[in-house]
Amino acid sequence: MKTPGRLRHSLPYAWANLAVSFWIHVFKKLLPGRGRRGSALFLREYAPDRVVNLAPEELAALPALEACLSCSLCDAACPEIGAGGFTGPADFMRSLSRDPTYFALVEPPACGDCRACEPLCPSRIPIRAAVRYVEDKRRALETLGPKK
Amino acid sequence: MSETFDVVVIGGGLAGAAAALEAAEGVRRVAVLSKAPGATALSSGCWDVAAAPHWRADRPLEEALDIRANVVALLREEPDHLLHRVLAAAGDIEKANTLAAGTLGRLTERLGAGIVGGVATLTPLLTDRGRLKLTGYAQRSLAEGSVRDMDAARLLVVGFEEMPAFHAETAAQAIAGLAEGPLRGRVESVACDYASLATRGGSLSPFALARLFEKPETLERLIDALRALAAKHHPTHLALPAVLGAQDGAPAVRAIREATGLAAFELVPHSPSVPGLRLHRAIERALDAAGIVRIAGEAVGARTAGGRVDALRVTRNGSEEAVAAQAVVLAGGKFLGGGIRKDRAFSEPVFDLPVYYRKRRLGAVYSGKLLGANPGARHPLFSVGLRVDDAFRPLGEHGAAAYENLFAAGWILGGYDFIRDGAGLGLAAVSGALAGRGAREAAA
Repeated sequence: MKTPGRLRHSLPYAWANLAVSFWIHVFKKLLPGRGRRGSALFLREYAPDRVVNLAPEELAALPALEACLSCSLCDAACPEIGAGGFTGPADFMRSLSRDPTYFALVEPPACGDCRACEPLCPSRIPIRAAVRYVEDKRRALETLGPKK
Repeated sequence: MSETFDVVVIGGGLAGAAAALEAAEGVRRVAVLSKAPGATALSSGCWDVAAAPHWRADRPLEEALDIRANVVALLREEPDHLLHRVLAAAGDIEKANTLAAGTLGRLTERLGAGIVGGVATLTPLLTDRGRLKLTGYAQRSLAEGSVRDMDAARLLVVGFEEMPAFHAETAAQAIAGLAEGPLRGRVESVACDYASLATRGGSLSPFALARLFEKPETLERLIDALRALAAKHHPTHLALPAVLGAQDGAPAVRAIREATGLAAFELVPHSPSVPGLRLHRAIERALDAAGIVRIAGEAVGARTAGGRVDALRVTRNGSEEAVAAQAVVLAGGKFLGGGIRKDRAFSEPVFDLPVYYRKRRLGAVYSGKLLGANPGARHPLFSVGLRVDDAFRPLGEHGAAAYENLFAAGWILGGYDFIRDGAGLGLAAVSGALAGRGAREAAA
């Protein structure tokens, strides 16, 4: 196949660009003390960035937590509502379901262990397990220490 | 493990409940299979029967309320409307009317949730957005707000400081607009104000508030606040958000009426709503009282042979088992309940039955093509579903009943648009009873 005219004219420029980039890269590598700066920076900032690993089975469970319809039906079964200013599981589930990896921003609710809300969920979200997940991850965050 | 029933109903909403209760009149072992609360639990709890197809809120109210006239208009406009199947099953419109009145009346009694109404005249109620909702049956705490009974009423719309989901000013402004139009003479003035329930929580969902109203002190605080508001605004009617109790709003409404001397009612809420939840719970209680087995599980397939359904494959607590049945009723709802799925193509997941819009079988269709140009238009997407024969058996591949002992009811059926036709739970219940009767006869 014949190279189209417009492309044929730009080929020398492309080659020249590639050559210049290549030599810049080689010179950078030759300069002392630059090579591992990125990874050292990452390792130093890793904990302060408060990144917590998710196990593969935790990742697999996340889509189930995203199924929240925001219907708030779960509130209707919660025996903790009104106690200590607790506003119910719906607020928690709605916030978490937007992105369950953003657990650091979601306050785990003052939840007992009754699971009375779960049969009322149209999406069958394991609400108690979601609370546990956030509690676990936030504990893991605390072991990383405060953000610098 | 395998269980055997005479009739198994898939779906625990109002259609499924009507089918199961009807079946249980003649056979002994009836089960309702439900994976989760569905469209009934998420509804307004009102049973719409049939709306006037072309009535708009700038017309006199009386033109919209005659249910018989509305049914006739819907039958004429939509040659494939589900109402035609009800008509065929009953015989004629007179018998269909008697059938619907009997079915729905019996159902309200069995649910015991204080649901009132009828199939002669629609009850015009006010919604929490300040619009008119013309419905057949409603819970008493809502039905007491019928604008038909109002005469120069001075309304006070009361919101709760704890409930941002209900905006009393918006509702009051919209009702004031209606008072210039269809409610002229019935409503004289509309005011709004807010009451504090003095809870320690911040903003609460309607369901959380309904739970709080299970404690007597919450109602006492509200009554105190309402007395003060009544002294300030001098209303004749108090319109409140529908959160005055998780089981029934009527006791709270009665207590408010006795304490303030004013008429009080709950506004029809937008869904999901507390009255929807009350209906869901009443259904569960009625099924239990009738000795119907409630199975918390999901039908994922069926075993069929020789044009008959033998058993359902059911997942329950993570494992699959067979549930054998003499007859099965499909009442699993549509997109929300999961009775009809839409991925690339529409499908019915348990029996893989064909899905229709009117008489056209649907394959892979882009959903946008089934939506009307504006929100108020007819959206074909809502009328998509199974088609049934006159015995309420769903049609299979060849346009005849798919299985002789399989029936279908409720929103899984195509041929009606619950919003535009104003025929949601009422038609679901009537079709449920017809399918349940068919299943009972097939199982006997």
